[in-house]
Amino acid sequence: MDTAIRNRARDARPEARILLQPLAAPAVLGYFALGSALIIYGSWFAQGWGTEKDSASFFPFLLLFGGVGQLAAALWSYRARAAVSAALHGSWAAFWLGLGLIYLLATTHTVAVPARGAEWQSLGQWMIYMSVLSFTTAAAVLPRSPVGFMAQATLASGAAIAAAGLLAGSSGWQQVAGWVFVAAAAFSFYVGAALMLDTVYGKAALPLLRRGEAAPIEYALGDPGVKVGQ
Amino acid sequence: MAQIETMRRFDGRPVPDEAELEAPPARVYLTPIAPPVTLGLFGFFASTMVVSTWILGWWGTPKGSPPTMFEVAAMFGGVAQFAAGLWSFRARDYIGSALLTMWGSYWMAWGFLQALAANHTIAIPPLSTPQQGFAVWFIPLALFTCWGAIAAVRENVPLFVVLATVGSGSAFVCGGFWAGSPSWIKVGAWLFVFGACFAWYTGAMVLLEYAWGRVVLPFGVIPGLMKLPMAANVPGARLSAPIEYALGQPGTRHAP
Repeated sequence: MDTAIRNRARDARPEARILLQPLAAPAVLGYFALGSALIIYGSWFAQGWGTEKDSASFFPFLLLFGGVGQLAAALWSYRARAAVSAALHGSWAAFWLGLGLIYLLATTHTVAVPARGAEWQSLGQWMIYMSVLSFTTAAAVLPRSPVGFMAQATLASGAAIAAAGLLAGSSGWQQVAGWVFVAAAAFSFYVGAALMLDTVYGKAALPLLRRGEAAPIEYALGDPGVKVGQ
Repeated sequence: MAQIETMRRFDGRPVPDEAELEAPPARVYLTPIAPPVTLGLFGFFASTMVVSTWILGWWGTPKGSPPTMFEVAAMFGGVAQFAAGLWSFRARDYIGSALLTMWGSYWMAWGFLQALAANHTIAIPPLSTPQQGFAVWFIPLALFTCWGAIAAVRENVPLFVVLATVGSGSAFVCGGFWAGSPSWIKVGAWLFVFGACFAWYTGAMVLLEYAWGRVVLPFGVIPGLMKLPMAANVPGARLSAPIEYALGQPGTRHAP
């Protein structure tokens, strides 16, 4: 390249700015979707209610809210600079999408699904890795959100117990795992609600055991996006 | 304006085209996001482990793949990894944007094939039968994953190991399905298992460094060869100083 042209290109180099764009916390939707899928599937998996045929009724909820809804939260988490939310909700969204698809195929009699309490090798295998990944995200979130750690560690423990129960065909361990999932759902609802109330009230309405007050930047007379909320 | 004045002074000549005077000043906006590679590698790890360990006979029966195995693989290794690959474009990550989307596409396509088999639309033969139509899938996968490994030589050792083992594993699997050789396929499956474990390590390494704000799992940097400083090998070292408004909403501050 000619020196003069190179110099001109260097002079014309545009300025760079780092753009920080605020958005609502995607983890609220993520935890609500995760908790909703967990409480429905966990309590059913623990044989707390219903029959084997009920999966034909609740699988669309797992597929769309636990799956699609939570995946949307995971992908918005990238813009929120929330790596743990992206990894946790992305992983579990994919799991609920897959499990919902299994029950969809079972409903159309394309595949056969073992009854609750029976051995189910492939789901047990998936539970092993969901447990590993959830313990990993729990370790990552520990220094900033102890309550988030509790939710994710409980979830990971439930997945580990479910893996043991499914691989061994142990009805008892599967029931324990189901109720641990329900406990993880309760933690998830708490974290999601606390994050939402934190933003709405501008202070910690429910203790999250994390950072102090917030002071978001906004132009209160502007449109949504410029001001906080609608 | 300063930019236009600079151009006006260029070589003492007037700017040749008046339209250049009208050109608005450009500004580059850099927008921070969370690292997408973690979710992508987690999806790859889980899906590869489940399917490869089944091929190796660690669980299940050898009579065709279990009909309830492919659904989560198609969604986690497929959809989630593909989405992470698309976000890697925003992260300006050449390796992630190419390879996560490519392997995400593979897992979705594989899931589609298994779904057709579950519906008895097609029949999937045993591993000892040559399946050249499936073997050819692994030619571009092996080729581009190995190119990614060469690129990763500038990044860190765990990512290089992931791509090198998965790329070479793809070559063995390709040969195995082409010739109908279960032995070659199992060699490839072992390489996949090895690569998947490193994929988990790499994803966790990036996630923990981002969330804790310091190195937790060593990056395995070779000095002089890789871009990161040697401090990346030392737990507790700080590698980044993200710009944030700590009292702001998500997006303006660095979240775990």
